[in-house]
Amino acid sequence: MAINVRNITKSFRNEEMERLSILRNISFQIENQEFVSFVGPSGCGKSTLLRIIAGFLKADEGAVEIDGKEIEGPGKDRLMVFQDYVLFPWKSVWNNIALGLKLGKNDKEYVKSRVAWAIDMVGLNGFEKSYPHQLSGGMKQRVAIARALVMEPKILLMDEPFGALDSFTRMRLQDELVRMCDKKEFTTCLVTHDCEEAVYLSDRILVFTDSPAQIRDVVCVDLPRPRKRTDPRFIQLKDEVQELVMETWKNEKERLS
Amino acid sequence: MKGKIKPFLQGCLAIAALVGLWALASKTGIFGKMDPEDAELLLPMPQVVCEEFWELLKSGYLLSNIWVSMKRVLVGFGIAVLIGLPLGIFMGMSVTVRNFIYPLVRFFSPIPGVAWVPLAILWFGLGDRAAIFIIVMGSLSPIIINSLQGVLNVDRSLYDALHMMEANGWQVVYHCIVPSIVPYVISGFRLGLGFAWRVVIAAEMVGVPKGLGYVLSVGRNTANTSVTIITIISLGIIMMLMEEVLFRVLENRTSKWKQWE
Repeated sequence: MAINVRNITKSFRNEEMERLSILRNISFQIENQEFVSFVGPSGCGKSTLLRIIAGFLKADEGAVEIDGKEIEGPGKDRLMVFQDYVLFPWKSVWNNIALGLKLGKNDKEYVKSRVAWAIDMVGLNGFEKSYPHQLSGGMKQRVAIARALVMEPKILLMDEPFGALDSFTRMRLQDELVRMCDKKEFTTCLVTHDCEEAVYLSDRILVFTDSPAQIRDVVCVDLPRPRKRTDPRFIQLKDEVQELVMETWKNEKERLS
Repeated sequence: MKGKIKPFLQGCLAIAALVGLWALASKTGIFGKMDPEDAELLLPMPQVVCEEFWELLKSGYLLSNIWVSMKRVLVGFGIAVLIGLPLGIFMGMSVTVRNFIYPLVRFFSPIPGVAWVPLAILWFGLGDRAAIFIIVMGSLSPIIINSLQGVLNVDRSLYDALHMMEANGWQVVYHCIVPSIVPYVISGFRLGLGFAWRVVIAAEMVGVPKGLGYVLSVGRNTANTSVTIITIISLGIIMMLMEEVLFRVLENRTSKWKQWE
């Protein structure tokens, strides 16, 4: 499904009740089945933007449209994969993954076959009866991804999903994500701090300025998949994105001094 | 298994030491402070108390009174749970409900359960109903407050996860709130049940007939020290057994995932 973000503005109140502008008049479109990353300095508001698209937060102004229809709240067409997994500690892996289908009152046999498919997809066979606290961070995130995929979302929203993982686990999960997205079943928005990750996964990268966030630049990644991290063009694109992010930091410093 | 035997033996040793000290105090007239014959009256020897214990058990007097108190506690505590648990959950879920009820809870919770005895006897007469009313009043607030605290401490991102899966209100309660608050509710129940016993003993001592507190006050009025000591020992045993039966079961059920805390 295509996402149309129209003139989104959002501010929060801090403890002294001052208004802090987080997002200012942001507009962009994401095409059906496109993979788009949001990159920018930490605290710039890209996660806030993702939460607005998910429907967890309401924008002060502007709207988010999915295939031309304005969203009114969270929905199972747009599923989020959180950085800190957000699994249910009292549910086994199987039950965590099956939860969404069970809530929708699906037929038991259907739930069983879908969950088996999802567990297979993320490679968690044999861990169905484990509880989240028994799993490593990477495996917890696999559960969270399976929990989303099992419901066949049209849009997958990922908020720094691999940020808390070690670099080997991160690379493996990135590869698996590429494989899953390759089937062209959903549109993906990824918030990340990792420029290499953004270039490795995305079709397009939106680079945000520091808060109030605005779109600084858009980088199109025109490399065929699977991509090689050592490819000169890959490194060039990564440096370009990095440079853009660092520049927004520099501007910030100049503004402060 | 070895790891369990050692603490058990140490516990037994502590009890044996206490009984030894008790026997010594009784024998020496509270360490020479009084005539040993008077001491027999104030603090009878352990074996005398044991014999009396056995007599009371055999006659059924002790057990029937324990049963009377136990029934009052269980019914009163059960009613307190039926009122307090849903109320605490609703207060946690709705700010409006919380704003209405919380001042009342804060007002009533510091009032000791025994303070309700005169009113309870006036309203319900001398009997089970008065005792049950007092127990409900005495054990309600820890149950409400702990359930409320549990709901307020639910991981908010779990709500997000459920909302994006389009869960309805009841599903949020069932899949998220109820399992989250179990540890809080257990400690609320513990406190509530403790209060319930304290209150029922006090109420039975000051007026409500029959029950363990009544046995205690009869023991006092007839200067029968053995009976009062026996009552105290029985109470200790009952509390320990209740703890094992009620809470061990609940905690075992949640131990599978509890390590996450």
